[in-house]
Amino acid sequence: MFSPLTVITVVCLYVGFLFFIALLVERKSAAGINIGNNPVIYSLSLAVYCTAWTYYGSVGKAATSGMLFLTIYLGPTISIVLWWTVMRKMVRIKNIYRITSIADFISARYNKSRSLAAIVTIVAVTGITPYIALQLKAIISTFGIITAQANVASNPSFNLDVGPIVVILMIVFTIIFGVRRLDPTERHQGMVVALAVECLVKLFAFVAAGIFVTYFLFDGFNDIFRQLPDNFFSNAIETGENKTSFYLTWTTYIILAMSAIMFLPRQFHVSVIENFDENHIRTAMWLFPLYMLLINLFVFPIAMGGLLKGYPIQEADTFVLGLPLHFGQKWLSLLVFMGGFSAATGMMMISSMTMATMITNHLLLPFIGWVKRLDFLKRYLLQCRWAAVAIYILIGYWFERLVGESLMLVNMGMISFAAVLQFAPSLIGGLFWKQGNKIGAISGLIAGFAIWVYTLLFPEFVRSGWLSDSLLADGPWRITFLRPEHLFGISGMDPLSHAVFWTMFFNIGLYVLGSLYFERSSEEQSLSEEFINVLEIGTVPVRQISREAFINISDKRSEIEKLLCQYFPEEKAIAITEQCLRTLQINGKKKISIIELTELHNEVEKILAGSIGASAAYHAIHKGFIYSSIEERELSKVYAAILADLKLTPSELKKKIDYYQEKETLLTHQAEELEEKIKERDREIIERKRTEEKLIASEAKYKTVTESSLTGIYIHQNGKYVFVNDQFAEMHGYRTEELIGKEYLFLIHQDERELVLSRVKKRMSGDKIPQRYEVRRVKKGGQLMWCETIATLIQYENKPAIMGNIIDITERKITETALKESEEKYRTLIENLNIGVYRNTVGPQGFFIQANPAMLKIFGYDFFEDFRKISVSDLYQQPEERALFVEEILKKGFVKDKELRMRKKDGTPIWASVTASIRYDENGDIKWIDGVLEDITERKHLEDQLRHAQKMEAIGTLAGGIAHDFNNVLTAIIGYGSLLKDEIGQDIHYRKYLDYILSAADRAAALIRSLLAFSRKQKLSIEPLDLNSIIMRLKSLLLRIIEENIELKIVLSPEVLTIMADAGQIEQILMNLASNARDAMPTGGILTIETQCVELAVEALEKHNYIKPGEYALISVSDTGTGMDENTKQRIFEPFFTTKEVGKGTGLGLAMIYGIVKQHNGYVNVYSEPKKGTTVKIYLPNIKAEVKEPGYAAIAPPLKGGTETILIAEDDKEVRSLIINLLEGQGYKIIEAIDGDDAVSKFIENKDRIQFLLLDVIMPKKDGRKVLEEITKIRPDIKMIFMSGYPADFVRSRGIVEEGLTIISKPISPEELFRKIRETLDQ
Amino acid sequence: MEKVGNLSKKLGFSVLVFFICLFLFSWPILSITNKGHPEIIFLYLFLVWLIIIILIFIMSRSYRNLSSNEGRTDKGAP
Repeated sequence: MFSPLTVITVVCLYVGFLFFIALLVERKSAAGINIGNNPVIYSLSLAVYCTAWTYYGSVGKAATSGMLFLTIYLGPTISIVLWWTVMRKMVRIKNIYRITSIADFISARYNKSRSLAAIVTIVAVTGITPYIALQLKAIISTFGIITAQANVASNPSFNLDVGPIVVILMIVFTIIFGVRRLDPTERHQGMVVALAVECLVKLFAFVAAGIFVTYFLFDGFNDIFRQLPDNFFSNAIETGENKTSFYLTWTTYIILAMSAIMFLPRQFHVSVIENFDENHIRTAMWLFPLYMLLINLFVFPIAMGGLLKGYPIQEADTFVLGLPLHFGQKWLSLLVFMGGFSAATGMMMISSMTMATMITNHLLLPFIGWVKRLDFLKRYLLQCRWAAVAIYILIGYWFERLVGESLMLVNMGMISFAAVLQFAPSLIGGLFWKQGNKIGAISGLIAGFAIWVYTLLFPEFVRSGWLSDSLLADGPWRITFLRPEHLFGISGMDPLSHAVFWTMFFNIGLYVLGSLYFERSSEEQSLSEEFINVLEIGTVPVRQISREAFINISDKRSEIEKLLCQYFPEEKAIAITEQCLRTLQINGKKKISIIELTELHNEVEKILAGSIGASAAYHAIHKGFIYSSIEERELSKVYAAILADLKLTPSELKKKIDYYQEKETLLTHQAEELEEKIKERDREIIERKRTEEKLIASEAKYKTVTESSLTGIYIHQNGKYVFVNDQFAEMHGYRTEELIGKEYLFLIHQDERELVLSRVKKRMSGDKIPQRYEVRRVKKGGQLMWCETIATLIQYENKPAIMGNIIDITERKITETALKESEEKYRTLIENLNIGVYRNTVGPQGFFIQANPAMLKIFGYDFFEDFRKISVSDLYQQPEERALFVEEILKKGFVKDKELRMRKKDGTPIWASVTASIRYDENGDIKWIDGVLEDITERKHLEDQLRHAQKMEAIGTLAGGIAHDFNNVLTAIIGYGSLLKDEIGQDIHYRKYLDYILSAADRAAALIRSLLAFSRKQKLSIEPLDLNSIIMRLKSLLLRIIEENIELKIVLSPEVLTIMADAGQIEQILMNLASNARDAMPTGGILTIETQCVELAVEALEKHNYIKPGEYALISVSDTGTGMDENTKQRIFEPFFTTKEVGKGTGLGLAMIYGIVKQHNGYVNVYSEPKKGTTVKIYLPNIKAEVKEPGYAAIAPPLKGGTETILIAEDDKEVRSLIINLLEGQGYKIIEAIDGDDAVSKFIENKDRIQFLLLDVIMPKKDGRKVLEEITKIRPDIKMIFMSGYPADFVRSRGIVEEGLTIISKPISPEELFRKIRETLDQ
Repeated sequence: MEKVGNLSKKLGFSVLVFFICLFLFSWPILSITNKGHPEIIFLYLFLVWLIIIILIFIMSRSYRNLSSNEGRTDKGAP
């Protein structure tokens, strides 16, 4: 490492170099070359702000508190934004008033108050001393570090205390650089340039150290950040304390730094006092923040680098020096030390110099003024300043020794910042607030300073052991309410924020209160005006007043020199006096006037102010220059002459003065009012300009809009077009020029001209009529066009006119017409629809919004007003089904052909088929349900009927099929039974059984017939019959069927009812009905049989569309019996359905009736209600034909057999054998065939013998018809009979057997068989 | 561009920029970026700082005409 001597040598060389530069600059300056008059040097000199604190302390702060150190540099950057106004004002005021320090500045603003200047000086001295201590501490510590190992190596017992050396060096340097001589301008060009060099050195040194740490010890920023553990800081600007408190600290630091950059005495000095040119501020505004950014760029990496390398956080303040040193960068560490030395010395030099000026000007000189014995000291003002510098630095050193060890560097810096913050209210207020006055400033400053001492300085004294700990813990006299760091009980703030809050609270509060409460003196008012409006002040020409020169200039010269000699050496005093005389151009004169004398005094005061401050100079001049009686008289004469010019008596003068004072006051008020009015006028002018601009813009816009408008625009005045746009002309097929000057009505359709004219008249007269209307206009070719017009009354060239805007709506009109027609068409369609169309609300209840007439009709309503009042659910037979319907439609969005059980207004149940869907609005919300509803009650009824008919048909087919097979069986039973009966003769015992068998077979045959009757497969003997005759003929039989307690009423139609019917079947119907009526009336009643002729017309057809319209004979059979319910009624025509007890009915009675009626092309209806009886109505077609009396069976001739040969073809073996036996028993010769083919072959074999054919219709291989066809080809005249299990008409109806051929139905009775064969053979 | 220049000459504009700067370096803006690793806040502070310097530079350029009209140089230097 370096030996202390080496370091001291380097330091001395460095300082010598700086001194050389300063000397050079000052010599150049004397030669008229101002090197210091440079914006870059001005900007660099401001970097005196970056002291040893930045150099060393920032790194320490970064290591402990993350980015908090940066606030000290961000604050200045923020406040610099306002410098062009604030700093420029201060600089200009400084130039006008020859300000020498911040104390001088504040005092100058507040009536050149010496007391205020003294207070400011005391505050500054007290506040800045710790800062000086801070710099000394930095130099001493770093000197120790850079020489430590060398000391130990060379001489372990050697322990150099570098403190006093540093202090002496600093005193010497400061005096040499800054206080070498008294300067009337207090500007030190050489020192400022040297300071700028120092600032460059410290920047270079720090950046070099930063690059070394960042890029040589690590691999750059990223490497350092990457190596930092995630939880190194909970976040980068937090110290782990309470978060809110931390941001408060952050803000406090920023505020302090913002004020420090302007109000620290040294900063004020370099930025205001040393300013050559206001324009330099512009450069400094960006260059100085850039400097701060660069010097701080490596602070955080160095701090983190040191910690990552394992150095203790307590040594973080020295990382910037220690890291290069520990990693062997000896020369770099020396450079870093010199950088730190530059930072510290720069600050100390400027600070102690400016403080020395303030102390001598504002403390010492007033003190000398009071203590006359010390008056001689005025002549040693320069030496006093040297002493002040020395004392000030020594106090700083003493403070460092006293409390330095107890504090971190940064704390000491912030205490100083908080002290200078106290200048902010009175200084800023003085620059911008007219009301601010001396008393307010003094009271605010004293209060702020007192609180600062109590809340910040005392706690530091406690920590240094000067005061008892109980002051912090318990407060003075154990009043906790007054604890310095928790004043008035405030807690949760860090001590610095706490102190800043209370100092500003009292400082600002008292400044404002004092200023508002106490009046300003007239001088103060004038000063405040000048300060506030300094940027607006111009040069006011002064009227020259000439007076007789009678004052001996040499006397005055010596008087001035005598005064100046109190503060300057004699030569200097003489030079200043000469300079003043030169300035006023009176240096060659022997005598001067009283006016020139007063101007000379002013000039001397100005010069003197540059050295001892404005307030001290003011007081010195007023004290030092006493006008002689002649001079006073002359001065009075000057004033008298002025008054004489005014031609006034003394009383008038007094009045005038009062008047003028009053007038002045009034004028001031008026001026203020005028000023306000001017401002108002300015605003109006600006506003008018804006309006004009807007108008121009509006006109341009209007022109553009008009020209590019898609609508036609016109203006007509006095009945003629004065303006039309291109679109308007084009719409009408004209050019614009063609229309200008034309009558506007000629473009209006003649039918509408009167209407338009009346509208125009009304509009012109100011009547309120609609702006918008539609009118037909005429194009050039005569074509019409519909136009929508918007017309407005306007002023055109200062005359009323109508401006209109038209759109061609011809297409729209056509569309509207088409739409209307379409709407009308669909409305008519819907209204005439038989299907209900409706719109109703959604919901379990639901209400109709719209419904067509059909809808109302379906539900039995006449008016929609009634219909809309009911809820939809009221129309359901079961209202809860409405909810199910809504649920379904909400789920699916629609329903289709939904069959609903509904009811009419009168409660009549109906079936309805509904197709509906939900409608949504644009937001997707449900609006309503639209639907169509069809009354399908009748359709449902018809469907039931159809279903019933189909069922009956199916049952009939089934019954017919069964009957066919049963007939074969019964044929065998009855046939063989008959044969057996003949065989056994009169054997009673067997005959009885045989009769039972035959009787049962007959019942079975009867059942089969009933089934065939139901299935309409029985043979009918249809012929024209008189219905009434049949009934009358049957009456006796019917009376036998019914009981005696039943009355039979027969009401016959008076007219003849002719029907095509089988009499037996009709009788069967009536007997069956009578039988049922009897059973329904066990306790008696009335059976009514009625006939009438009815016309079933369209109505019947509508209700029962299965009925053919026409004239019918109606047989109505009514009883007064038990009746039946609906379910029974539905099934009564089904075969084997019976409500009677088992064995009492076959269940085929009504089924037979149904079959017979259908077979007669009639219809049967049953009307019945429980306990009200039953009416069966049978409709049979009434025909116009001659009635044939029903014949009575002739007495059958005795049966005859024969000998002919008969070919029998029957596939059923039993039936075949039976027939063979029967016919052989009658003498016939039989050839049998087992199927169709066999029959044909047998016939061919025996064609000569066979005389008769007995053929089954349905046989295997070949049916009876085909067999007959083949045989007739051989023997066309062969006689034959068909046999069939089906009734003959059934067989014929299906084309199986041709008409004319005889068919015998099974079961075959022997008698019938014999008779039919014989009859056929005998034909 | 001329309008922007005129705007930046006004005191009101400087005050606005002043408060914007104050806002950018204060809570709650800082609390947004001050999360996670320190490099984010480091980057944020220095970047915003640089941007503000550039803005001040532009503003100071616009003051040039103003100062040429009314600016004063202290000729009192020896």
